[in-house]
Amino acid sequence: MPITEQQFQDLWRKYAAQVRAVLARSRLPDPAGSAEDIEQEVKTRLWLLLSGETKLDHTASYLRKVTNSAIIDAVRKSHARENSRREHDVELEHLQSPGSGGISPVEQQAEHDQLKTLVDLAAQQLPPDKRRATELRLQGLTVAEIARLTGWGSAKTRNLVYRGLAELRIELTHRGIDLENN
Amino acid sequence: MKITDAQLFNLPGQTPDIHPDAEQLALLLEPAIDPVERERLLDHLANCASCAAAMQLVMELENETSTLSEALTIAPQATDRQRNRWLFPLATAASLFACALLITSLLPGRHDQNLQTVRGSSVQLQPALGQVLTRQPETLAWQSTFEVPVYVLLMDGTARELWQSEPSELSSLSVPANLDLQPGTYFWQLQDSRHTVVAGPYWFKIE
Repeated sequence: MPITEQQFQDLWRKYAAQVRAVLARSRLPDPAGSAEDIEQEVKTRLWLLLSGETKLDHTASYLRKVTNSAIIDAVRKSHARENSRREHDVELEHLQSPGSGGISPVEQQAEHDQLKTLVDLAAQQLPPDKRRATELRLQGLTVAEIARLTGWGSAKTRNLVYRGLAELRIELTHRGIDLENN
Repeated sequence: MKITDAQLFNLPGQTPDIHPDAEQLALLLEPAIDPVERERLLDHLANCASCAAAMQLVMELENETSTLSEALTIAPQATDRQRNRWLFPLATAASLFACALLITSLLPGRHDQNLQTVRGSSVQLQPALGQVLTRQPETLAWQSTFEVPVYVLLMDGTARELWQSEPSELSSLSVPANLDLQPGTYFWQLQDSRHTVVAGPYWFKIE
């Protein structure tokens, strides 16, 4: 017997509240918009599955996979929308004040891109595991998250991250970038 | 050029135009992922701010909302037996624990912690239901009365699938040593080839 709509809605209310709570402290560019996307995406996919008459043996792990995929799709959509908005803003600002002195948004973007390229080049000099750990850390993942994704133990991951970052700093210094502690 | 540590960690993320499918990316959370596939996905993740943020969020949500998939799975079955009662806010562990207790109460056997088994008329469960172990069990054993080959599905406390055995007609299977189960609560159940649960879930704990 498939789940009823009322049953699903009751469960969903609890889950959606938890999603919003997690997103509120996330570093996503648009937590509110992302929450809306995620809720919609996950809810639609789960409801289509659960309301079906034919397949009743959805295991928790299967539902979990469906939920995770929906979250990934929704976050990526949200990011794409945010990137497009940011590019639009930079272009607009440049058009409105092309020679107003100081660093323009376009120049600022170019400087960031240059810096990112230098960091990438420096990271490429690291041994493979240290490079992997360092790049994932720079993407904002925690040591625990990196350990889970890579399958490394937590002590090994912590070592690779800290040593990788230390070596990255040295590589950056060789490339003329001074890192200030703050 | 001078930058601060904070700037280094906040460089504008790049997002490539092509991403792995969400289903593929989510495989990174499965311990049984193929190592080559894992490397390929991590290569992408290391260079894609969007996917890194997505995976981070998935992991965070999994830590806090693991009850959803469990509740959705349990809900229709409970409704058949006791309409309206399944809506009680059962946590994942509590739900499975209740199932496990129900199974125990139906078994005519007795618990013998020293032997690490539950014995009854032709019933032998190992580890015993709810048994607290100091390390990963070497073997999972159960009643051998199924007419079809069954396989073991081992899950952690959040219903994350950790190991799926090959189908077997035996009444016990060795747990791969490389699973390296850490302290925590684990659930396992027996399923047939159509993914129908034929026994379990049973649970044990590692301290």
